[in-house]
Amino acid sequence: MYNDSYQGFDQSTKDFEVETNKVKEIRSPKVNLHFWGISSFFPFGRFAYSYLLIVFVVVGILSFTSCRVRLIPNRDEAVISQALQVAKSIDLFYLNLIDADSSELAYANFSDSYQSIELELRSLWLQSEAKPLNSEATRISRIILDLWVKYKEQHQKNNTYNLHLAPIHRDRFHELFVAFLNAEKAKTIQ
Amino acid sequence: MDLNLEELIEGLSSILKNELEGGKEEIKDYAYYIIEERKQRLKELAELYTGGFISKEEVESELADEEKVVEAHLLAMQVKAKASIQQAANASIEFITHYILKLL
Repeated sequence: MYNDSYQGFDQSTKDFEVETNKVKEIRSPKVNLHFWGISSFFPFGRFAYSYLLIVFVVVGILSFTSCRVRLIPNRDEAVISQALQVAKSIDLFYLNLIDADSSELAYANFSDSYQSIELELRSLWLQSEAKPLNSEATRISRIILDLWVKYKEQHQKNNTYNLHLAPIHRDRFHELFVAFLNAEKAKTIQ
Repeated sequence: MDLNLEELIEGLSSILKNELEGGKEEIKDYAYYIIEERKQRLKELAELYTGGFISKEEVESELADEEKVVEAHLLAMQVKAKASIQQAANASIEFITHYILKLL
């Protein structure tokens, strides 16, 4: 009788262990790599986890390596060439203005040059505006355009140009283009 | 894998110092150029005004234009500073990546 009750107790202990193991399996399900077919990719099935870990680390490093901080756009050589070209046109305009006699300073004599340079400046401004992360260069090109239009309107209104101010205006535009080119040069080439 | 944080931080700070130091010198030189140009321009305007070649309104208008020139230079300096920061940040990322790869 004692033996029977002992065996009964032993059986119930085994049943309890089996049930506990089932609960553990339910609580912490293991991925069956054979079921997913992953183990077939790797030569050693039991090391599949290590391979997966290495793959994740390598992918992570590659993603981190390709990660770059960008605060400004890349340098655009075409914009630099265009800025140099407009700067040259403005310089030539002021050379002609300074060399002109006071009788030749009427606005009509310079209106074509004013228009063509304004067109080039508007194009430069739009090109700067079109690029992302380029607010500084856009503002500088807008300042150049605004000053050009201001001097044009003053010339048109007075129908003459104060020749004492002409060299100062010429230097001012030169300086503005220096600022624009400095901003462009700071950008990296990619 | 033996991660030495002290070594990592030292490397990073030396990269940041080198990258930002170069940019600082360039900005200093540029600021000096802006100040020198302003001195020259204001002197010219003062001479024209005292000589009676330009009116008071013209002086005011010229000074407003000078403000815009200074604004343009400050924007250019801002781009230079951003470029330095961008370069330093990317150099730091590169350093950290190489450091981790070396550990693996």
